[in-house]
Amino acid sequence: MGLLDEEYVIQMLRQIKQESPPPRQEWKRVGKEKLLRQANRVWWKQKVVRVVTATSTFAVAALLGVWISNGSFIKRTTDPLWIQFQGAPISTISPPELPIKQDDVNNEAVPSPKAEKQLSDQPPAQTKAQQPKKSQDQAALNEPISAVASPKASMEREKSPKRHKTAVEEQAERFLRDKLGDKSAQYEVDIVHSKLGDGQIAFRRVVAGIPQQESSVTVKVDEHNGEMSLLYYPDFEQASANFEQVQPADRIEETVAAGKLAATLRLVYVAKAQHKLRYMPDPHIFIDAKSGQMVRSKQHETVVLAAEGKGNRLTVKEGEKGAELLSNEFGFAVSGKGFMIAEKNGYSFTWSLGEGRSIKLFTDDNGVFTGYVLKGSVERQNSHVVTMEQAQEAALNQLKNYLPSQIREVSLEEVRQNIGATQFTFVPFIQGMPVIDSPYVVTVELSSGKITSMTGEFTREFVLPNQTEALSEQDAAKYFMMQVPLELVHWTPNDKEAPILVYQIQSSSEKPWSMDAKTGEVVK
Amino acid sequence: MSEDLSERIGVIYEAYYDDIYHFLLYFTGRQEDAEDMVQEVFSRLLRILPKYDGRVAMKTWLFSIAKHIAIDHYRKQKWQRLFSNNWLSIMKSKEGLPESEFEAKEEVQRIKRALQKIKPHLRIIVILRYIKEYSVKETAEVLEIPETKVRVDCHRGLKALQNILGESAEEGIANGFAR
Repeated sequence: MGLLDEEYVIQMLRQIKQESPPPRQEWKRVGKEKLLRQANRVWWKQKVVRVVTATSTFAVAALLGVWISNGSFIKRTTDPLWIQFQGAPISTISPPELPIKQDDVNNEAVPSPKAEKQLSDQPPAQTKAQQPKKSQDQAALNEPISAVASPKASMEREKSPKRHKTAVEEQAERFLRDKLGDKSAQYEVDIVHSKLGDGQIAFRRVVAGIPQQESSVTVKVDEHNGEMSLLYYPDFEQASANFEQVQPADRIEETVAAGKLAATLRLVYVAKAQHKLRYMPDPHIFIDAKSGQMVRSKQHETVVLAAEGKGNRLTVKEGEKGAELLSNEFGFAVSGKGFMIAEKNGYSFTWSLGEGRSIKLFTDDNGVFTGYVLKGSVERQNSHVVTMEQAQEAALNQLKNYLPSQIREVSLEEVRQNIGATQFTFVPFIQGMPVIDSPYVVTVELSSGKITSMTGEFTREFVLPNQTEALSEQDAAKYFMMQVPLELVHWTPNDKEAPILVYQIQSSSEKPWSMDAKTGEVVK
Repeated sequence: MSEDLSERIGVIYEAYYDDIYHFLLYFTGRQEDAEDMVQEVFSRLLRILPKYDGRVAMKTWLFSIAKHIAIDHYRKQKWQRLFSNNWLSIMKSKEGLPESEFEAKEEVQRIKRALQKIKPHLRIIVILRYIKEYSVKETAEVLEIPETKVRVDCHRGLKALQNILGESAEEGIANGFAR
């Protein structure tokens, strides 16, 4: 059967209109009420901001008056009331930890692997299966690492008692069998990554009893209409490969693998989270189960670069100002107000550049510049006028102008090649610590050398937690080894190589595994 | 001012809810998703409404927000409905329906599924132009693109639909259920 007639397709499209359900009036009414409540809150917020601004101005004027009349500011600070006021923390409530999406996880900093420590040379652990907590067994820290180390067994998956399957899981399994036939036997339910409430059942591919990393299938069951969908990750069905067979006797002990991963632990700073100071192992390093060597993919090699932030602060509260900024700062000649849109966080202004191209400037809710993105290209030719090194240098040079002044170095976390452009992801370092949830992304067009996008929180001031409260690396390693859940997986280094058997940290969420640096507690 | 803002957003909500809802319903193919997203559209509108200067038509503004939310939604979902089907409802509806009517219904289901498979920017244009039946000029205004681009993308969208529908027919219903 060939292509259907275009007119026929148009007719069918028109019929969709008649078949579609009208809006549910009850839902619409509730939505409106919610919106009106929101409108009231917006109004109150604006009113409070105005009152606070006016009060602050008045208070500053009053304090200045007091200072001038007394002749000494220091004297006034001894006033108990003033001390009380001054002593109140600016913010006593930490912001809630935002869930890190898979894409964000990919953008997070990878601590550079350190020289392997002696930990890996310790003999394998033999005792203690219980999972410790700092408060419960501080004494354990006084013991040698080899004595306390007992990572959660990778075979937990096999040992755990059989779970009673839900009706949705069974439905999803039937669907998978129906669609994949015999191949469905290679997949088992991955309950950790399933969202049973939403009808999403994740399956991971298991070869010879061992899961394959980054090979999964998700079945979504719509409880309302029975519609089922299948999603492959990656977005194609992976061909069968020659999986490395390593007999249990030829594998290194889990404790040895944990010891090697412990050597990659380092302090990181998570600016927007409750547990700001953490110890985190390198999430891109795995331990070869046969040789015990650390392995990592080349695309995740990182390098730390000097980058002294100049702290140029840009604010855009109206379109004309945005156009001026794009022209003067970044060399994109645009004029007019632009098209303003409320984004999920903040606002954007878009200007058309003709020929299907446009440029968008982003701000946060307070009008502080958070980046720009050019859609389309500056130069249409395919030849490259800049090399990768030049592109990286150009990206870093521009970025430095807007980085907060407290930043002295950044790590180049990821280099992603797109058609005619290269995207660099930089992660700031504060006093030698990576701030893993505040990346800066800069794109350079190779045919023109022009920076076509730059995004990030340029005015964020990072308040570094006191590092002296953190556990020592030695103690952190002990906690790590006691708590880290390892598992054996088949890992494929790249498209050309066959999968090898490695130990990795079992993921129980989308966030990379980490421990609170002060308590050693695993951050959920 | 509170009353003013509430009143304004209330009036806009009543005037444009159905339009935006249907657009998002055709885009997502799912009523629950469309209802959630339409709420998000008005919620975002509320934040910029005090700055609205009337330079751009409200409808254009709303569709622009809806378009962004729809594309965000598409990116988040990344659902490849490789084997997507609606077999429960279809099988159920076959009983008691004349064959011709059943076939017509199934054709609509096929085109709905095909619509979900084409690229989001083409899907948006096809929805506005052929389901909501906006003129080329109106579509261009709503999406803030030249009329020539509307025409080209309409053609591409229809071509993509034709290909998908042709393929599925050739494969004897690729989603795996045989009736």
